[in-house]
Amino acid sequence: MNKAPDIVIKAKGLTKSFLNGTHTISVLENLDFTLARGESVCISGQSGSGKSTLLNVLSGLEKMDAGDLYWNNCSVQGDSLDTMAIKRRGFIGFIFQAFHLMPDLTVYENLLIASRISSNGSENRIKDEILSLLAEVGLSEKSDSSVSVLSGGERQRVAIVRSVLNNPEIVFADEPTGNLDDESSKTVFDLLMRLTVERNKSLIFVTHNHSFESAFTKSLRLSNKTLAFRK
Amino acid sequence: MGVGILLIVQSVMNGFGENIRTQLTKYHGEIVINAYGGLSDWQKLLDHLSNNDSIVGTSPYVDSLALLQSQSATTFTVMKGINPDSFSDLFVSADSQSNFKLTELDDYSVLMGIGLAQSLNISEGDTVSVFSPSFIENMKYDEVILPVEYTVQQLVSTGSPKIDEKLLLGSIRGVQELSEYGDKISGINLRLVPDHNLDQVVQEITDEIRDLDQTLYLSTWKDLNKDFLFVVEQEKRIISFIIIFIILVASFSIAVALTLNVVRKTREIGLLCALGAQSWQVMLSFCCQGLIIGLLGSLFGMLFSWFCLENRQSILEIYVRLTNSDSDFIGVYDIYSIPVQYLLSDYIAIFMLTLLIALGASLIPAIKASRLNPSLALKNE
Repeated sequence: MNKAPDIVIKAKGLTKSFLNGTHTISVLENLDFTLARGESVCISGQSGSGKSTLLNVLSGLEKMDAGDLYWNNCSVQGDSLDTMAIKRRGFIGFIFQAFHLMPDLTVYENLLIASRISSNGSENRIKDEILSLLAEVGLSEKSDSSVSVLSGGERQRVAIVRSVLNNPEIVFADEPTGNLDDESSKTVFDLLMRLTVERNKSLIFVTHNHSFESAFTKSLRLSNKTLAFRK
Repeated sequence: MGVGILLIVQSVMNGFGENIRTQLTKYHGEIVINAYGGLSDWQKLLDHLSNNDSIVGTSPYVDSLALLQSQSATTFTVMKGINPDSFSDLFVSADSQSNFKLTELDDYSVLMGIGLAQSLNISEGDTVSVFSPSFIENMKYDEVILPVEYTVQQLVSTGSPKIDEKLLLGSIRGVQELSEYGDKISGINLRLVPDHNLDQVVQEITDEIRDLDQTLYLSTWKDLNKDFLFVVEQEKRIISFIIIFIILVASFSIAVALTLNVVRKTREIGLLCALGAQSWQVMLSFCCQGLIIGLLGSLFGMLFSWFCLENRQSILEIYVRLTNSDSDFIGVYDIYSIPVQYLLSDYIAIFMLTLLIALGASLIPAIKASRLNPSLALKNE
């Protein structure tokens, strides 16, 4: 008998709209989504189609208007943003198109902050973990450099390290290659796949670049406020 | 700046108070015992007072109104007759160029305050003619009053311009003869142990001497300068009250700086939330920032105040030069230079007040930061 897939995130009937002055703009409507452990999903769609909103709602950064949301089969729908923030630690890692690194801090400090928020590990263990991951993405030498002097590709590699640092079950990557040239995009994408999917983490990857689609378990397209399979 | 200026004001005003106490007690002691009509059996009183452990020095004195005449000027003062042996316990630092010792004071020599000497144009070694009101009382028709001639053995500075302008010290016997006071004295100056409780000692002495003589009464140095001390205290309060507004303005600056910081760091705040930070943790980080600003502001303010106070004379000279004014204006406060007294309690109170204000100023931006929507914050450009 086949074992049922281990679902890490599930949304049912997800609806989200925004107020623009007196107008209500509906972005997501009655959307269903499921992600199994180790599964990688590519979500594409036109600009403004609601891809980032979908990630924000799935990750608990934003409340949905209606629908049900489950993390590891537990409903988080009634949780406050603060409660979801606690649950998010060690469950979800983020990578953003604009990197979102703290420009005044060094590479190591950026990673240390992320680690400190999520874990209570010893200073030495955290340091070892950070240095080991930096070595894996080829940034050992840049550990003490300010992130403001790094190239776009290097910054995104730091962001990838930050996203997997606390060993999350899912990584949300919101157009992580959007600001990079083709070569850097390829490097970053390969690194991301190596550090997530190859380690049995789930990945939700939002992109415009269809050349990466083949590497994912499933590819979805967000249009008309809902998701549809591309493959 | 606010902390620094507040500390400067507090320390200088404390210094005024302490300076007044030091100068006045140097000359009068902490307590003066007087009697209506003069003290006759004063040796017995001295013996009685010697049993009180709080009293470390007693000095009987006689004072008399005197008209002084030098070759170039005439003025009135109160001449004080003292016992040189016991008075030296009170009058601890007579600044003088001469080698004259207080114990060498005889019935026809005097010590004169530098202010009084200036007004009479008198130097050490000169003589001064002194007339007493008793001369006039006893004068008969067709008599010429001859003054008593005193040699000015020493010019002294007590540190108080007000006292130095009137100070004329002779021996008890000399002043008794001058004023025809007989064996009586005007009163006794008492010096107390350094860490005394003035009110308690006054009560003790009052209880002790009550049965000796019903005409005796006590005055403390505070009683003798009540009006002046009140004015200084009021000035301290009013200036502190005004300067607190400077700190409040500084707190607005902190609030504005932190609010701008919230705007500038909106994306970072969103990121912290995405990484799992709770709203109270975001709030705490901004409160800590406010506290650090308050802490650094307090420390720099303290350093600034210390620097200014330690260099106050130079600063005063620069001020006088820039404004073409005269530094003698501080004589209004009965001092020759700006006094300072550092009080730990002032430093602690101002430090705590500043931290509280800085924390209060950081609360609004901290609450604003904690209420940011993480997804909107991350989109912030």
